[in-house]
Amino acid sequence: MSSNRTDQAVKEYLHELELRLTGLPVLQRRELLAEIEAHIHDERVARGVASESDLLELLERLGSPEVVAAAAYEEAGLLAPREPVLSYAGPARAAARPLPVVAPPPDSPPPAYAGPFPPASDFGRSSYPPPPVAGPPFAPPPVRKQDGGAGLRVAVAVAIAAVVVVLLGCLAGGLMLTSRSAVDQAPSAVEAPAEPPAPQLPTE
Amino acid sequence: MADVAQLSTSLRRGTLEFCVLAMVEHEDRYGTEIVRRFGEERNLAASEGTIYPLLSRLRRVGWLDSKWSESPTGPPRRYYALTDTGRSALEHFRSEWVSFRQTVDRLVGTGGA
Repeated sequence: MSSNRTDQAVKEYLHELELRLTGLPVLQRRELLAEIEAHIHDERVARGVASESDLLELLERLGSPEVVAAAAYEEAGLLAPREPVLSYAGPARAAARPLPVVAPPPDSPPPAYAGPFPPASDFGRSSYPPPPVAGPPFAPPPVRKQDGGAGLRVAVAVAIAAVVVVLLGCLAGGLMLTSRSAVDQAPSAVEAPAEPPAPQLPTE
Repeated sequence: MADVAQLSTSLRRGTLEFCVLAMVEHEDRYGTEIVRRFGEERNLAASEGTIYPLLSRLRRVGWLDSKWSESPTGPPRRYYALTDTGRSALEHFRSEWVSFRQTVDRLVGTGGA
């Protein structure tokens, strides 16, 4: 009798319909839900629906959410999903995905970051690491696959190794710097690796 | 007698949409109006809610146009209007339907006198 209970019934009806329409394009789904909601409103006003039984009769004439949804899928030329569509393939596929590789297959360009973080022992190097003058400061552009011979693979491997060494050097250097400068300027220590202070080397 | 329901469903399929088009041929109407009109026809009786997906499709194929209009009692209403292509589809159906009906009448023996 109370309008709360009838409102609740309408809400439940619309909710169940919405759940069944998840396979429809969003605009079609919204359009249909709005039309059904407007229909229920119009009919409640026009027929003076007050009691819960009147409302249930109104909803019955409308058709169950299942029936309405089935018509919607048919008119949209779609198959009704048997159950809510899962957008991911599940844990089996995630497990099958290979972990980041250190050495890429020869026919794919080397990744910018060639490996996992270096082992902790590398951080313990006591000597101040020199700036990477020995190697190129940046990763060389990915070698496009031509007729991948053994030489090319070696070149790629060498390039990757160089990148790894440079990265390790930068990392270790950055870490040393941060650990040293942390005393003076703690807040900026985290960003140190992005722009490491130029080490002052004695020039000869 | 599930076959009876099956038959009326089959007969409705392909004809109901032209009944909808004819309903807005001379006057724009909103969804509940159209649905109520169908509710008065026992032969066409179907769950009222299934008319709305049909209206949606007719709009998507361009046979109906719709525009929003304020309602005196509640949320705005979507009024449906026949487009030019909808009008020619309706005319085409009318001529097809007459010859179709005559053929069925002749074959099934429902032609009467």
